[in-house]
Amino acid sequence: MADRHATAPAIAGELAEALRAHTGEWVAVELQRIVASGSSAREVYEQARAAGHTDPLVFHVSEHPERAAFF
Amino acid sequence: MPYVEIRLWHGSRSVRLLGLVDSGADSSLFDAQYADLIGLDRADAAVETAVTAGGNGISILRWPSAPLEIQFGSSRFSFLGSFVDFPPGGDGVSLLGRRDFFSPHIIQFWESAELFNIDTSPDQPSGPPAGP
Repeated sequence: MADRHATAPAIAGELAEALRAHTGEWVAVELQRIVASGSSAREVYEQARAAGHTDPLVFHVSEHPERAAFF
Repeated sequence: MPYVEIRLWHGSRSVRLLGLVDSGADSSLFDAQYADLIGLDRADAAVETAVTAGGNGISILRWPSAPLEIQFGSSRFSFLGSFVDFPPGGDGVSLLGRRDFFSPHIIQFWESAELFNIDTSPDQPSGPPAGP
């Protein structure tokens, strides 16, 4: 049954804490590490790819990044 | 409400993003910047007006004929939502709504325990029990 339940955190605790410094920005994340940040999705996506991260997780950091640590 | 990681597909192109699982959203609503990243041409979009939970009208973009899909884990299904340009400097959050994200899953919230489960392969309902 366990594989039927998606309970793994999308963002782990340390990353959630690091995201606080980027509130209001777009970030690219790879392996629970911020690899780019900026003012638009395209900007951070291209920065990440230029740095060799071909498939980053891209999102805007909300006022409540700690919520992401739940799941 | 929790965030989950999903992948948004347009044909063979895709982007990984975080979406907020939102039972209050009729359908999914993503930042239009993701549409740009996966190669959707805004000139081809249908521009419509939607009403937010707060009662305000907003312009949304849809590509009804584009092959758009959401992938969550190994579960992949059609994206039936739309895109919006959130105001600069705002706190826009991409939402995963009922018409697409909730449809193939059983989603359980236990707020007081901060527990959350998504059953990605629920047994189909067998229908009502036979009468006497």
